[in-house]
Amino acid sequence: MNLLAFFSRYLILLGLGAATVCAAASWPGRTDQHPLTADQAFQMMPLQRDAHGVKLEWVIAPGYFLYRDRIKVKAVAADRVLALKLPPAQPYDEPGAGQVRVYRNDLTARLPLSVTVTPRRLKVRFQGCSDSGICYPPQTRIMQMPKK
Amino acid sequence: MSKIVRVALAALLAGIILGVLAVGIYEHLFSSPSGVSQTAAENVAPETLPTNVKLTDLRGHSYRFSHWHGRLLLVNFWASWCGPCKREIPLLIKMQKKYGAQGFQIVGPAVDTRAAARRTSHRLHIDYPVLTGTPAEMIPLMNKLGNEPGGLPFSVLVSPNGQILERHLGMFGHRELEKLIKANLSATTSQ
Repeated sequence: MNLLAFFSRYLILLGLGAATVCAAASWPGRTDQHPLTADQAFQMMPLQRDAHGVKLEWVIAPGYFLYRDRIKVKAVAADRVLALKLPPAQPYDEPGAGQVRVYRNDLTARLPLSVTVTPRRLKVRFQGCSDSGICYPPQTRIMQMPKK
Repeated sequence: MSKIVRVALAALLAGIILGVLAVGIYEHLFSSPSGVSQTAAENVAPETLPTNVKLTDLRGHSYRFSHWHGRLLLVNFWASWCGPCKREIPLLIKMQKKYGAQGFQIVGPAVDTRAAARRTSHRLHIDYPVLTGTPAEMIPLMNKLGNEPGGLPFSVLVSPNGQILERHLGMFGHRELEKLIKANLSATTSQ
């Protein structure tokens, strides 16, 4: 084998391997050099109403998550906690706290409502963190109930 | 397997190993483990700690940051609901013990109720002053100090005369924090 061709091939492959790893290591989601605000990380969509009740929807940025047990909904006027139907959450091993349940990417929860006691406004509370190790204070949103 | 394929595979493996080494060396030398640091040269927010802010400690006594004037001060915002904050605290306790006698002081404003901050503080054996405030009080304060995302943990290193030296969002790594303290303690004593 031609010696020059051998070394050329070797160096190209070496470079490609190194470049692949370096690119993977510097992927934005990994180091999170520009953390998002809570509003950007956990975007809450307007409430949607259907025959079964009200749909609450979050768009969660990649690399961020919401804690399942820190999502609470109250009726503003009555200040009473409402039972929210949450989908199954992913397990997350939180160092020092053990396994907790979290949501990533998108979350759709349902609030079954009876016709007689439908609140006009909901107070929605939620809390989340980023995989890069930044947590956001509990967020509260007052959401207007959509008309039927 | 032909010789050329074997050589190619070996080269790829070597490339990956070299890449991992390069990233490891880069991270060790230049970057913080999980946080975002901003040194005084990049400051966009006020250069000094606000003097008018009063926060209460776990016993209900009010303090201003000027109380710790004359010491190299690390203001570490944390909360009982913040996992990374609680993981960082043992390192802070260690640094306070190690460098306290040389003029280093940590103060931990908690974005919490006093009861929650007290419970967590006792559980983690925090032995430096813990102050408390609601998110409504603390978030604007953190924003003023340059923490635009409003996340935790958030630390601000302040010189003995109240000048902000460094802002850091996220957990400190052991080596990173110790290097920062040492550099600024020696700068303070050599002035």
